[in-house]
Amino acid sequence: MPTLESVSLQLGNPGGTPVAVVVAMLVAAMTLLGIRELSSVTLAWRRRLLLGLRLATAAVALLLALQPRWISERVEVVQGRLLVLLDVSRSMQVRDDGASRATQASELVARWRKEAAVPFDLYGFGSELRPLKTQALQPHDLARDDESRLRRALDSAVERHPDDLGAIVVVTDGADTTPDFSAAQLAEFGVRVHTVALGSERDLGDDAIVSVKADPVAFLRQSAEVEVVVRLSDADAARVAVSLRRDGQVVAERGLEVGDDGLARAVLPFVPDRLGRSVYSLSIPVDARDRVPENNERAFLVRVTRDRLRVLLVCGAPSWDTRFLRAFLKSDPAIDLITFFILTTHNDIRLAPAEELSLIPFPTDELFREHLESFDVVIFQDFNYGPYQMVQYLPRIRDYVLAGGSFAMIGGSKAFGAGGYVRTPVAEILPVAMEPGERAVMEGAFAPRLAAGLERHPVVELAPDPEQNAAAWQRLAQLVGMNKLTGLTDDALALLHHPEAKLGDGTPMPVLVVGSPGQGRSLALASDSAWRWGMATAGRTGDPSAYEKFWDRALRWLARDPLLEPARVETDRERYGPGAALRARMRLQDARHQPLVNAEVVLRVEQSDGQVVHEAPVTSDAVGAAEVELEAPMQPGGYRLAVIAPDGQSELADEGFVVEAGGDELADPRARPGLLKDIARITGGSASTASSAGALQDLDRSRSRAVASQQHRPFASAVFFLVLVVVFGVEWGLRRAWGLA
Amino acid sequence: MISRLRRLCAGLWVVLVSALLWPSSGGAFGEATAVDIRMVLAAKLSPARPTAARRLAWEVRQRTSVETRLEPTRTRFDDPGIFESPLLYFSGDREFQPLSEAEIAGLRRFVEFGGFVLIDDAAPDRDGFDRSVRRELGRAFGDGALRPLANSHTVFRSFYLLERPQGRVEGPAQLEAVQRAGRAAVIYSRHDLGGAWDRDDLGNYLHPVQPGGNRQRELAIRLGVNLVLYALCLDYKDDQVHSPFIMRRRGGQ
Repeated sequence: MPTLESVSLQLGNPGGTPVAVVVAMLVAAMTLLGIRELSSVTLAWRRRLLLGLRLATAAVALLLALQPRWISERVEVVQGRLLVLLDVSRSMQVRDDGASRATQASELVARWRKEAAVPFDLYGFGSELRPLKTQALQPHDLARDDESRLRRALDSAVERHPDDLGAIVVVTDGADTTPDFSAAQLAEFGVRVHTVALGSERDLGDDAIVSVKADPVAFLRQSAEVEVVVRLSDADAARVAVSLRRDGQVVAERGLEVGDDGLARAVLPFVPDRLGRSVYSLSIPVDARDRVPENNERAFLVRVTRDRLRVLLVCGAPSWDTRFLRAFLKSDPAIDLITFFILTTHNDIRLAPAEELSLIPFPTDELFREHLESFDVVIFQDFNYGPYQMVQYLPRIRDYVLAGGSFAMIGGSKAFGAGGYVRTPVAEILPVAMEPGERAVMEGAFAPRLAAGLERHPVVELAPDPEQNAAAWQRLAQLVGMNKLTGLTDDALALLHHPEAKLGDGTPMPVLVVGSPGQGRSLALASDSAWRWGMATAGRTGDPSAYEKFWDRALRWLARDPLLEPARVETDRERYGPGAALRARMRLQDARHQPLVNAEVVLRVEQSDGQVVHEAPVTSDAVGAAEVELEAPMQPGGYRLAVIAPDGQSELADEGFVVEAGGDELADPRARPGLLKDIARITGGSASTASSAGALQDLDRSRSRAVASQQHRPFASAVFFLVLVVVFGVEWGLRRAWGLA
Repeated sequence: MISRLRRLCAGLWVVLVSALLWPSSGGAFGEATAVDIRMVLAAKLSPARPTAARRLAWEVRQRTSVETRLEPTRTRFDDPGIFESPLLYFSGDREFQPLSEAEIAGLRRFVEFGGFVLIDDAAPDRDGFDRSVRRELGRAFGDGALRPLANSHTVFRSFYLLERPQGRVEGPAQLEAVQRAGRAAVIYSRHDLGGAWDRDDLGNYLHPVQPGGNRQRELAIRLGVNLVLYALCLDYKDDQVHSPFIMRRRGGQ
């Protein structure tokens, strides 16, 4: 085993080199001052003696202050572990000349395996470093990853083998997607990197959409924009046509001027006219000579929502409850509120002609026939439909909710059973059963109680901590009076109940109930005094916010705010290449917002037409979380990831993603052998190409290992300090004796 | 004599109609949830128009869908229970002693938390009550907080379409108001509205209106109804859906 001796000099002063420089300058200054004074000494031998003593004092003082030490090490040179890092990103599928880069890489690794001269560990790298089984090297399977992150892979390799790594061999095209990556960043890397470059630097003959930037969320019927950059290989090309499509239909086209840099840039406006997720695609024409036609089309996903929540509030009569709810809804700029108050009934006395009144007709037909579907939430607040010829519209309201709309009924003398809703279509969507008749009400004040086990439901979550939430509800002013209810529907959740009143089966009388009829949502609040949670509570506590917090959360729950949904699934990215690794994270809770612990759910991948392309069983952990890695579908297009509940029927959560043939990875697939040469040079490795790569045994994979070290500190002793005192004392004494200061 | 007979007949007629139309309670949940036009007792000042709130409650119930409490309660600005009902009616006909700090704080908090206060000068021909009101509103909300309310404000179309304020007297051309959070939270009238609403137990009006006429009294009642509807509906009549109807009717007048 060859061994080497190495000796190094280090400074032992505190503060390192900067402090040493300052000390040296101070000592030099003191010395120069002393030398200047010697000009008054007439005898030459005296001047030389004093000069020698001053220089000796300065030298000894400097050595004492800096404490230089010698470290001698004996190291042995060993052959370290050799890692081969194979680029498995999709740019490796490009054919520069003849075989694809992935094919060249796989043949090279196969050759090294066959030679079997040097053992090596094989890893693939794209977005991350992963071990590769050499037996499974198929060119098609290799070029799957959506990113090329060489620096990340190198760092990860060192972390995995910190003690015995000799060298790293990187087999790649160098088309790295790390922003601003350069070889200079590896100057302090510390491990030798040998590079094998695949592909040539000359022009591929590839037109490409280099980048696409679009807002992930757009508003219905409001102009949105997508920013696109196109690169053309033909230096003489002056224009290029870009098409924007949704579901295959062209929605915008634009001819772009190509700049001197060969790039064409544009911002294309488009107006979404459909709610929900939409897949848009941008494309440029494909030339017959284009080597990478996949990057001539890019896709992006847009979630189209309304800019504001549309709420219809119908009030049977002005009351304090209607006043405070309307004021809250009007104060929220994110809500587009349409309100109708019934200000007078046929029982009221008319002492003025219509011209002197500000009353307007109740536009039932417009609201409930023409525009019902345009509302996100419909609220009936102490409203009886009977006097307004609305029987014909009740089935429409039911169907609107069953199809995904949201409905809330708030109590009062004209609501629930007292409003005549028993056995009507509206009763089919309410989460409660009602006692019929105008007298189906109870008087008296009461403090509603949170239902056990539902304290974490978002509608009643006034504070994140369960104890603080319970305390917040206890601080609220009492409600006064309520509608009599007789039961709950099957899927209903009673969030608040009366402290004393009971249903026929002995369970507490519900006050606040939520349900999910069909695809929609419904909420029943059997009281018209919830306003007291604001003003009356504030009179006692100084804080009126509970009322607005309650309605804010109730509205968001009704409108399906994703942040209030019990279960959630997220993908690590929004766009994937065909067959790329897709990581999905889930947080699973049931409708009661209790974690689904150790639950067996199914993760389903569906095409935009609903066809299931993949299913995978997933089991949640002890807190209801789960993470799984899938392979993205091979067919480009829009997809939906759905989590199916353990019952196999209901859907807990979903998320959308896009598969595109090109993507960021193929936006610029040009090989960069120059970058790889620089990396090899900076790290002390060698650079080669697929054709010139030699045997692994020829590559330097040696590493030094210290076997012994010794430290010498000659100036860290009292004797040396005494030397300083003596030299300085003699100089000082002679100066005094010879009349110097 | 004939005149007295007519007044008696009119009173009996009102009582008869009232009995027929009198609901059994303020609402299905009882009087507790009905709209209470609470009279404020402040600074040892006797209510100048003791039946005005009751009369206004009656008119609102008869003319609109609002369920009012027919026997309004009374409160003080420093009463902790002031927040139980968001509408206060404060009337007076003379100068009064400064309110206590607790009363000022109560008034300020009442408005801040969403309450509405109607202040009615029952003696607009004298300046005693007016001077005291301006002083106390300045203490509670700052000098200059009380400002004229344009006759285009929602108050003048919250139920009836009105051109200007009128009460027992024709008074100033405008109401005044303290604005908070985009609403008129305190409205001050120098028209003796309560004087136009006040009736005895037989239904006879207690105070003649000046310059006079049933129309003026009716318009004073309509303004009272509008004020209650405004307290309950705020700027509802500013919603776009009402604009074409209201503009057409105002144009037709």
